[in-house]
Amino acid sequence: MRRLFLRIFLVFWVLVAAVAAMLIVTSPFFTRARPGVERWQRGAERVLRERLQAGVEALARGGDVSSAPGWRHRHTPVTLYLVRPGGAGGNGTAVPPEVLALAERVAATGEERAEREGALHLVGRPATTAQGERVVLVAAARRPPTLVDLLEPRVLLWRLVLLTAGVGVVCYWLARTLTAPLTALRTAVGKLAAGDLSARAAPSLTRRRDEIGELARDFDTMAARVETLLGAQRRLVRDVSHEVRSPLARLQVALELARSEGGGESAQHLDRIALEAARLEALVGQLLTLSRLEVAEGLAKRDTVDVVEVVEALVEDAAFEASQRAVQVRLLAETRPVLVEGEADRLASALENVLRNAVRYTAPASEVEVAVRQVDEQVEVAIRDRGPGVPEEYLERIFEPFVRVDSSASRQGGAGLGLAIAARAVALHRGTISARNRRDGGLEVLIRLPGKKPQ
Amino acid sequence: MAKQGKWRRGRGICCYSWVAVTTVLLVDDDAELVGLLGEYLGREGFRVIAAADGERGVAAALAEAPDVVVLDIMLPGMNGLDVLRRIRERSSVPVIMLTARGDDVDRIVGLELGADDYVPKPFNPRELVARMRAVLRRVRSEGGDRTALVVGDLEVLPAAREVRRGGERVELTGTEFSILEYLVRAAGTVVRKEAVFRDVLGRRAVSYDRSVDVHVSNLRRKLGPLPGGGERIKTVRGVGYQYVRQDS
Repeated sequence: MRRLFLRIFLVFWVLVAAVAAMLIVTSPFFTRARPGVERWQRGAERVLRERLQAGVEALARGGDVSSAPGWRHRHTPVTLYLVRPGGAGGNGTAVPPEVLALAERVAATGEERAEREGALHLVGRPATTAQGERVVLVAAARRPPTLVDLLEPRVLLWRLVLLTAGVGVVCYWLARTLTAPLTALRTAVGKLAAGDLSARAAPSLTRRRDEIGELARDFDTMAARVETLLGAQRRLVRDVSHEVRSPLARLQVALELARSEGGGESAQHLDRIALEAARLEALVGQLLTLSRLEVAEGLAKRDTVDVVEVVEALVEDAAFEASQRAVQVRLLAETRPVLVEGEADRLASALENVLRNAVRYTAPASEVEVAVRQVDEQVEVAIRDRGPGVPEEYLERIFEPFVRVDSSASRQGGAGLGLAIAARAVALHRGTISARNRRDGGLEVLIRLPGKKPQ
Repeated sequence: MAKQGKWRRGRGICCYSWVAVTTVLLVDDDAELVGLLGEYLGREGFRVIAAADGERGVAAALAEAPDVVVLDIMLPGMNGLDVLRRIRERSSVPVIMLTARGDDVDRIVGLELGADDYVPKPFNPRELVARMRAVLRRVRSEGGDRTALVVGDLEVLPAAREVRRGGERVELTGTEFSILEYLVRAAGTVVRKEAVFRDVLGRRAVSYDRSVDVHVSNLRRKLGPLPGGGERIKTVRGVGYQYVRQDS
């Protein structure tokens, strides 16, 4: 269950150890490992000379140089080289170039020389073989590597490059291990948030036995719950729709039957029943529309919609209703098309609800304006009437369901859901809706939608 | 088309019989509504048969050969749209859908599947009868010019209610045929959408009504492009449609 903890712990441990190692290598303090080096060097020259001396004596006796017993200085082998004039090695072994170089210098001066080439210590001396041949003997010993050598600029650079790369790989792996499952989980969460209720964490996540696995399983449980609940709500809406419209449908048919049987006196009451049935029906219809919009998981489709075309059709429809009160409905559009992305039907129902409201409340024989224009990236639809307007404190609340400004009998049909439907549909299109009173009387409802560039 | 009504009782199919002229098949699970509607439609001179679920609805639509089918889209068991699909596989009987108010998706899918018209439920029965009569009038093409119309590769035969493209018969529903006939009669000119609603569907367009658009897109799909590859029925944005006359 605590694997992730363990993993973080171990990885950090390794990481810190690596950093420490790097510090040790680079720290100036440890470059004082010189005492060890000096100790080796102090005795080295003496041993080399002794070796040379033994070699010269052996040579004079006519013995074999290489037959001298194995010499060591502090566990380092000491090698004796015999160099003949002209550079060739005396006994067939390969001679390092440093040795040859020293031998040349010794031959030139005829004196003993001690030199150091990095870790290689050399002492050379001219000698004469039993046959009288003049040669040069060189004793060489290589100082064992120490930290000082590790700090030789070239070596140090390579070490640092390797260490940095190694630590980088470990860190990258650590970061990936921690963030990759979270990124995968985030993808699923994002999908759920965007409305895909069937979104679940990937099986590779839920199979994990660490905290992320627990989180993924909890997420799945939550998503399943949300899906069930929303499904139930949607079923409820559908069932209510079915259950309520059935009695209403029967009522309407029964009403027509009663009418056709003709009842002089009752005719007036039958009309009243018909009116109330129609209101009830409108209310149920609006309620269903609103609940559908509220459970909507974003737009069902993304068509390119010309707002002017939609408004044109709506204005034509409204004109009939308006003409009964001598109201003019005018469309103001400077350019066309004015394009947005979304669902034409829902946009139309949003605009229709606002427009109907305007036509209903505007003063008789006045004018209702619908202005469509494109402002930068935004599309603005303003619907203006010449009605009584709305008290300031209600301007924002009129877009909430069932909020009514007055309870006067002037309200016909509408249950106060039209603007709520409009607001919800506009919100689905990522737009905004607002209302303000016009200075010279009446109400203006302003709908702003993100515009779509024509291709 | 006149049929003698007769009493019949069978599984799920009950019968309201009159000396009927037109037979209506009601597919609706609401038995009480069907009872009331039967009475109402009876007084209006229709013979009514009813089916309470989708299976029986399909069977009755195919076996009883009604003149018009009124189909509730929200049915228990087999979905109304599936019923429509099954009926359309075998028959071009006019179908009027009863749709949930505000459920545009069902309505549009229904029209795409070949329904002739729709009435949102709950409905005023007078409205339903008006729609039924409009649909029947179209199907029977009562009155009007019955001579064949020929435009390009298309032949429209109003008498037989048949359409041939390049001599081959194209299967259309009654409403699709009527809209095509209306457009072809005015071929080369733009026909306003409202005129199609008024003269063909016999009603006013309700707000943002896409019925005609769906029927026209069905027509486009079934008829295909012009022989030259151009579009057969042009949409004139914000106005209406034009059947393209190629030979002009």
